[in-house]
Amino acid sequence: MLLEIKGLSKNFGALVVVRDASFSLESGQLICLLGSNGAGKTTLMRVASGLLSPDEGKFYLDGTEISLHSAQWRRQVGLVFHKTFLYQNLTGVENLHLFSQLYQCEHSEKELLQAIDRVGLKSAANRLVRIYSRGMQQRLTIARALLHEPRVLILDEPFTGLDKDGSRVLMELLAEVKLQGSMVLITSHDPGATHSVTDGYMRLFRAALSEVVLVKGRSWQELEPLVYEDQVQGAAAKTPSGEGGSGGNLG
Amino acid sequence: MKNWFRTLKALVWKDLLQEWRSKDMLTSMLAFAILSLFIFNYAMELDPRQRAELAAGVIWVVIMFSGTLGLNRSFLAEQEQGSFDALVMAVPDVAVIWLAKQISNYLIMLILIVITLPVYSVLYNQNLFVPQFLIELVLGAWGFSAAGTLISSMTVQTRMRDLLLPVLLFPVLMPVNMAVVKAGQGVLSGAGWETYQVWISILLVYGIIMTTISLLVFDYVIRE
Repeated sequence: MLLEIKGLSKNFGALVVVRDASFSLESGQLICLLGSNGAGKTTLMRVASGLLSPDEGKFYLDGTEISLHSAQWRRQVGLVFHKTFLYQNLTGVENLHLFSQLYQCEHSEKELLQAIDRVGLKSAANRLVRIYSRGMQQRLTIARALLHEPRVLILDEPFTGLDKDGSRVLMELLAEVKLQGSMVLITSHDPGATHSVTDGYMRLFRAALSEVVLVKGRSWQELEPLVYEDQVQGAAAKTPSGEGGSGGNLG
Repeated sequence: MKNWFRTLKALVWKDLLQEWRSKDMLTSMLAFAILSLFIFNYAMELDPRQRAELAAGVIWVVIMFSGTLGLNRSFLAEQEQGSFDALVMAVPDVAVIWLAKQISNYLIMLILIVITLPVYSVLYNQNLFVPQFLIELVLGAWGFSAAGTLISSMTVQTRMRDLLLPVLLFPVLMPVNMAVVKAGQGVLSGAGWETYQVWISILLVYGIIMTTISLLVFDYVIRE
């Protein structure tokens, strides 16, 4: 499966968040999207997931143009965003059961417990989510996002709140979903931490999306100057008025 | 279609289970309704004939204001943890989210009515358990919650939602308010069916129109 996004632009009034962004994602590929706070990463991910309408852009899945608004597309996507998307007055297993029903996966209780066990929450499966810690909620969020075996996984700062063990579990799951052929788009403020499963980096800077820099066996230290190359050039070319900037807290 | 109804059932069950555990909506609605009835009872020294004339208006005002309190909270669970986005991503048709929320809100309104009517009957010494009166309240509650669920889905995303909901909702509810009160007055004064039939028809048509509009525009409303 190949997803191609071409010429994507998104503005909020006069504020240009993403301008003419193009990239592609293949099955089993994990691309890490980098960018400073407020760069527009979350906006780009919300557009890619179908939650937000783009102002411009065409989207192709295996060469066929698709609408990111269609339920058919949305239901192939697994999401982890800043908010947990969980219902606080339902238990962990009830949350998974609800989304299993909505996705018409019809998991048995045993399968739901296995899904919870995968993220290390078996003992808390029947507790209300409102008494979970932030890290536990994040683990459950990850279990929920993977529940329907999405072909596309979009993760916005998924390591938020996770302890060392939780981060290890997430890395294992990411490696697993890549092996299963899912494509993954992830944002992280610590790209070095996810480097072992990352296939490429791209960066959103002043509303422009860079080319994907493929890992090809190189370390993050080797790649970092390449990924941030345009920022150095951009800073040099920056006018005193801040031309081309994308302010606001959008990332 | 089968999947659509299964999704609907799952969402309604989720809402009711959450409400059962938190009692967020029902507690505030019931407290407001019962306190209002007490205040009206003390404020209005009326003879039995005047009470009969005012009953439909008083009971509907109490139900409407209490219902508005509940509607303000009906999308909060979705808003607080962003689960609205997760629902949009998961369901086969976004309109099912509105219908599920509408059914949940409506059932909570019915519970409010079931509790409020006996309290009113005791306080005002007036029997409100007249089948036609119950029918018009049930129809009015559907129209109220249909309009309210749609508008609260818009206002929940704003900072001034507590203020915005009634400001936007009450004008839209004018036909319902008028029809419920007029039909109620007719029923409780013992007038014939032909005198209030038109008002009950208005409630029925309003409910159908508001339900249809909401199902059609909900996708647009939540996206924009």
